Amino acid sequence: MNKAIQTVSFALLLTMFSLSMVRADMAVGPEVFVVPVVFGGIVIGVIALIAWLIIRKIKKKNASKSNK
Amino acid sequence: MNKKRGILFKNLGVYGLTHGLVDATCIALIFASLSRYSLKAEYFFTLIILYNVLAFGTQPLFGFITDKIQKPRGTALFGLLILIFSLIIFFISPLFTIILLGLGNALFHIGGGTISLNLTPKKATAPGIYVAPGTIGLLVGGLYGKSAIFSIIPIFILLVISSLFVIFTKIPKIDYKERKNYKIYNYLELIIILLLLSVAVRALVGSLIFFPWKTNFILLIFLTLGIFLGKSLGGVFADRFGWIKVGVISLVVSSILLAFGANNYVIGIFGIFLFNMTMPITLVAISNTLQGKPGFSFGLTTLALIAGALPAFSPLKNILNNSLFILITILVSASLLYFALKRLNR
Repeated sequence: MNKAIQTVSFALLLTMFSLSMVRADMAVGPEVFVVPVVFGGIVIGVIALIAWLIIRKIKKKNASKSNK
Repeated sequence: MNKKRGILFKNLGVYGLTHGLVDATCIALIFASLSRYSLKAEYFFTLIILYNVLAFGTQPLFGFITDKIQKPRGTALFGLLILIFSLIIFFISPLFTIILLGLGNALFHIGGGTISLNLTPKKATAPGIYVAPGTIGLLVGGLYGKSAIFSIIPIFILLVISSLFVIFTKIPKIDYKERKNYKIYNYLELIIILLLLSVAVRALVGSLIFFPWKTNFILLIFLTLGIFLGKSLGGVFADRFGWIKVGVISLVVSSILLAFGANNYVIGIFGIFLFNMTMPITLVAISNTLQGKPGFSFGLTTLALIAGALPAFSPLKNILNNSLFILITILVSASLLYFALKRLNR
């Protein structure tokens, strides 16, 4: 159950941070206005992945602690 | 009790007002750079993206580091110093000015945000009041940066004064104690994802909504006040009447008002007021989920903000800007918030 929840939440996270890149090909307008947005999305995506790893680390660290 | 109240009001005053000043400084210098260097539209647009990615996207990383070193006031002060330095760089390079503005803004937000989360621990009141003045700052700074009387001197003086207030204002005790909440431990990631998605979706819609009457200066002021009051009162009402009640109902009602009434300034302003009330709720909910990590929690919300708003910077905006999309996405945000807060038992 726990693994399923984790898988679902990871999938949601990837979906969320792919928003900026999804259907970019549908964009109407000069390419020059899309490129910075796509690069910005990539940077945000990388930071999001790092944040995700930090959250996982926090959870693992707390697994060994008892609630005070 | 009086001492605690004193710390509360002093810190809210200092960090709230400085937050407004920081946002005003950033947007003023951005617009002033545009005119000073006669930047081409494409390059200016790229700089805007760069600024937003730095100012919002780096906050989780700075928040994580601030939580490690446990020096939020130092982080806020460092941010202010970078902004003061950017006033000099403004005369040399627009690119490095933007980089410094983004980093300085991020650092101050994390420092001030960490402190605000500990002024009314586990409650949404103080963080909402801390964040709200940024809206006023954006309006004032934007007007000042575009005006013919723009000068860095008043900004420099105000930043120095604010820095002194930050140095000499006693901050509350920051709770860095990590605790395992057995009730939500198995759902930790899910709750965070739901809350961040709610923030991202709200940010997207907020960037898409078009108010045709915004060109009227008086109505623009009222719109800004609506956002300001929504953010500052949202936490107060939520703590008083219940997070789920206030958060979800305000979003549901705002979805109808903003989807179908944005052309009317009364409906639009009221809608945006309700729309912004959930901001402090999601912020504190994430902080309560990741106990002992106030800086990192604060940074996660701003990361979600820019992730959600980014598509609105692209020509995708033309496709997404319609009443049905706005209605559905706000309702999605409301349901995400509902499920997350239900899990948190708020």
